[in-house]
Amino acid sequence: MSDTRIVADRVSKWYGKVVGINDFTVSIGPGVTGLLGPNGAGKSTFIKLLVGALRPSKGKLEVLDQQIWGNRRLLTRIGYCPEHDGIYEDLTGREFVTFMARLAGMSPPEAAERAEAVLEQMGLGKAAHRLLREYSKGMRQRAKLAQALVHDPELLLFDEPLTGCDPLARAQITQMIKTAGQAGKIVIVSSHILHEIESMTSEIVLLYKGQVLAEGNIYRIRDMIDEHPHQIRVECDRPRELGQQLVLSPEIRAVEFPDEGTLVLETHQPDACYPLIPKLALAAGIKIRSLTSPDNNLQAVFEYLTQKRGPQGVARPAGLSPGPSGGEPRARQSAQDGTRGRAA
Amino acid sequence: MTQGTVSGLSAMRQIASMSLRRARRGRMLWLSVAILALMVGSAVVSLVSGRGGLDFFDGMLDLMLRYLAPLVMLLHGASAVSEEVQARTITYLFSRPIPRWSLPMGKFGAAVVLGLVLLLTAAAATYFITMIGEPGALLPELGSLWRGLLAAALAVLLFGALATAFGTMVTGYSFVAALFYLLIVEVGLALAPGWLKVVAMTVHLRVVAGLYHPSTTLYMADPKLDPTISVAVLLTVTLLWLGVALTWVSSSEYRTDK
Repeated sequence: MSDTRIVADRVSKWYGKVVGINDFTVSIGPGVTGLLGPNGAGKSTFIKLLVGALRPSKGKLEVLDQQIWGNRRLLTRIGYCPEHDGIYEDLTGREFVTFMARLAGMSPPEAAERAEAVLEQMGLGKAAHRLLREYSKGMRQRAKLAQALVHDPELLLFDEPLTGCDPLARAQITQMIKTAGQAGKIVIVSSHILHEIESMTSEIVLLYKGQVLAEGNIYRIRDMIDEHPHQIRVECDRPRELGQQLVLSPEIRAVEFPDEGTLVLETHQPDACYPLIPKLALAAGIKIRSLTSPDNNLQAVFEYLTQKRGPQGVARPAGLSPGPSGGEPRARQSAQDGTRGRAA
Repeated sequence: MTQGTVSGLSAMRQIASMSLRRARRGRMLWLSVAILALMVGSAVVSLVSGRGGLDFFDGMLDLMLRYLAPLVMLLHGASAVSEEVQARTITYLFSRPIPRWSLPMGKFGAAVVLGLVLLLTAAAATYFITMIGEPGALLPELGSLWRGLLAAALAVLLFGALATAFGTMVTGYSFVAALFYLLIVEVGLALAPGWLKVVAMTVHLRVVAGLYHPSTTLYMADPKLDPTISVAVLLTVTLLWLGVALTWVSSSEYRTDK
């Protein structure tokens, strides 16, 4: 395993008055790291900064221990698959990948050999002679990935790599990404679809509005979430009655009734709440139909940290300080709305 | 893998080769062929109608140097970087260890190869078709052809460089921007009286081809221009346009997000 890392220290990128990423601090090591965030979060901007296509407006960005902007030697060690669908429509798959291999500095025979191998690996061996304009979206995506892999780089940057892929291609690409991560390469994968990232890695960087919202292991981020208002959704026959009972407990922070027959609790102590709810319901003779937590998966974590936290959409977990992470998860920027009241 | 950075010349060669391959499969090549076929077709018509000869060839060459050469080179060169930005394929190229200048230079190289093949072939074909009607003058007037071919080659270089510069600086509607420039400077100023017309490169091309005949009016006289100096001017301006393109591409960020 290489010790080299990607270190962004308070990096900002502005497009005129538009902020691409802002005060972005993150540290990424070998293995697969998922960049997770909604559209416009700054994922692609960060990846373009990493590949030297954009110059940081501010801050320091080191890729494999070197400055990247204007450092073309470093590009021999980077493979990049962009998020867009742009491709050389009038080249064949073989011509495209061979051309990119040649531009990576390979000799003609080596480029041809590697192009064949990587096209085969991506399942495009039989379609290599066809023009790229004749490829399906999934095939184009695999051709884009093939050109990123052809020179066997140490750092792989995949921007939305599963876009347009069918289930089989998704499985192949996911496996390829995991294998590259296990081989000690630094693999950065962006997506706005949470289960895609979840299927590849548990190491994530959450982005929102150009800022790092949190980074680290998804399970540690879950721990972090547990220190914060955690939602439990209860479907029962007398939700208001149960709510009145629950609101008296110190563990419950707020109670909501989103619709008839449903009660949503907010708590800082989910572990204490899960036994308390059935206990009180049993005592009052209330029938519980379901008891779920929207926070049980990555989607919930993401939504929790972003969309459900008011105008800024960002939560700040208490006790976690911002700064380069050496492994501890962290989050920053707060805009807790606190609009929900306690049940009367 | 043992690859290192790629030399500028090697990258340029790769990009030029790829551009030529794509041009062979694209429509622009056939559009250029069609434009130049009109010139050759006119020569055939002139031959059939018995109005051929050196004067006709000079007229066709003048048309080529003033309008057809700029148009053909714009078709092939004005998309230098802009095409890559529009199609977003520039992200692949700039993620490779190549010097940035190799992109416009590779595109320029491809445009020049195509331009030379097309324009020189068209000029030579026009000459021989036109002169078939005057077999006795075919060889004695070969000097006109050589001067015409030299002027056509310089036109390819000059307008290729100009198109590359516009294609590098203007990422949207670069063809229109370059065409606008040509209409004002090359067409407009070439018609201006007196020394103002030396700004138009088509005037220098016509000097090289032996087609420039200064006229004197009551108020103003056209400048007398030397072919050697015109060649130097044309080559210098070509290098200036290329310098603009290379400087621009080396310092620019090209955004591909819409």
